[in-house]
Amino acid sequence: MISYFFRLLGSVIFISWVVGTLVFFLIHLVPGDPVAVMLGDWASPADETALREQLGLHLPISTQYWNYITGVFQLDLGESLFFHQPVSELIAERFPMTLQLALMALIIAALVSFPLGLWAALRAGKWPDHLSMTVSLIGVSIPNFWLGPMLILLFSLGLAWLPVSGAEQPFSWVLPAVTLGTALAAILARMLRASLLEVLHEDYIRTAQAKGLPARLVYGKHALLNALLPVVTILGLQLGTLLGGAVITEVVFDWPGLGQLLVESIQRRDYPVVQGCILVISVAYITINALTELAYGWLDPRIRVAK
Amino acid sequence: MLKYFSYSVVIVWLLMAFAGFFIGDHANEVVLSQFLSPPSTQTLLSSQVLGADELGRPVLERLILGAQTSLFVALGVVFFSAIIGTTIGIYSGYMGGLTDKIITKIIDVFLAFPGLLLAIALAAILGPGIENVVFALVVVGWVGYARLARAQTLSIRHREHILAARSLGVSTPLMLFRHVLPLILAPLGVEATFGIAGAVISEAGLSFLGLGVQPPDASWGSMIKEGTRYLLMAPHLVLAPGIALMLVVLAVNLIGDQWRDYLDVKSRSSRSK
Repeated sequence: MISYFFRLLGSVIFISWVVGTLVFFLIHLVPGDPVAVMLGDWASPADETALREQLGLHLPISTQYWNYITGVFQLDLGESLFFHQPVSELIAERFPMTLQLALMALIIAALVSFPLGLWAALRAGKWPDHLSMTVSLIGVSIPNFWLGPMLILLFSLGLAWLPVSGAEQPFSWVLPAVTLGTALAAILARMLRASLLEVLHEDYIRTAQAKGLPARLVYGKHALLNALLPVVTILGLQLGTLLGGAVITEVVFDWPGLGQLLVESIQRRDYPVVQGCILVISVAYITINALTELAYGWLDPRIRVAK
Repeated sequence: MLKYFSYSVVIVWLLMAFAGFFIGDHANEVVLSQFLSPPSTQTLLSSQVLGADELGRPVLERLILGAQTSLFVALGVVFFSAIIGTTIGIYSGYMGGLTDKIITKIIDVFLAFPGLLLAIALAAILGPGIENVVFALVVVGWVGYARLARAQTLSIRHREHILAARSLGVSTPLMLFRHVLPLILAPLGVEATFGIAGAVISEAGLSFLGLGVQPPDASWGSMIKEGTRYLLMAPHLVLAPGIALMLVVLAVNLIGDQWRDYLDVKSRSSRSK
């Protein structure tokens, strides 16, 4: 288990390094001169020189790369061109909001999908199955940037139950979390159904039924626990995806998280912040995926033994 | 029932995209007297049937141009990512050894990146525009095909006919495209179908964020974005493109589901049980 952990840690560090390198080269992909693009058409040559020196773009590329990578390890992600504030500070302010939103969405998704998937699997081929699978297919197909405005129209503007946007009011997290969690709930429900159906055909379930265990124990303990394994993997992988999906949801609801900062910084051409946001979201995503793998090994003894 | 529904939606989508060629600049004409006019039955046979947007442009025509955009992006993205991903995947799976190890590592790195975020980053850096959207989504999208093609190739590379072809001295490219590819085409087709749905949503998402198609060109995503400003006064501006988008994605996903079930012998036998 310990060597497994260290190998996982090694792969997290390796992939984070690759991602960091890609993010570094991102700014060099800007068509034309990045400094001219950032400052716009009205900049004087003196301004351009000053910014180039501030960003270190006048240095040879190997020195730039070295400075960037050593900076990242010291949590120095440069300074925002717009806020004139260290990028790491900006991100530290916003990141907890994104994480909160993603976790709320995850909880909502789990609460909705588990009963839905269970119901569908236990009534496979009958109307509850068709109903919940149709609902979940619609859930997968609704883009969150449309679901969001629709929920605002219904619950905020129509019924006036919940705030339209922002994060100041007590229940302002509800609509963004539902918006973000819907697709995940749909995916999880489908996964759980498929996984349960597979497990329900296993011999040990028939054995459990044959020896007269109550249905609660057969389904709740023997079937559900085993069926949950693949679902946990998906859950972990999807938490990472939620961080990416949060970008759009945050824009829809004006939620002051990392995604909104990213999109605003793209519009302001504040490239140091753009680089920082992408790096942080990616590394968070990679870390969550690794943790999922660890959890998977912990839940399923077979994997621990195999490693 | 569902089958007819999904194929009809896709056919309507294709027809709309085709109709886009005949509309041209009329959809971009500003008619301020029609400002936010709602859909009405009195205009049933005119282009105003779905109302007009904040510049008085007919929503129906914008919707048709949006269909063209989404179809163009979806086909472009799936075409290029399938070709690139499949080629890399079958090559990697067929060659094995160090080549396979290196390519697998590259695939892992791409999979470790949140896809949408990478597309946002690329679209942001390259600047808005439909070609850049396609490029960004291909950079993200090829990995799925590569992984699938590699896995499928691994499962068939020891078949007799491949061994026979190899002993006859068939060159690698011919081997891959003549003897390996036809056998693994079906699952790749299913992946491509889901890829179309994914590309349609991603294009709309990027356009929603202002990173995709630029005004005055229409995209369902940018229509939703512009419509949210008039949500209370003119909900049809958000409803029309949103419903179109949802129906297309739903239909394509349904078709993908049907094809997958059809190909999946295991699920077919369990259903007949």
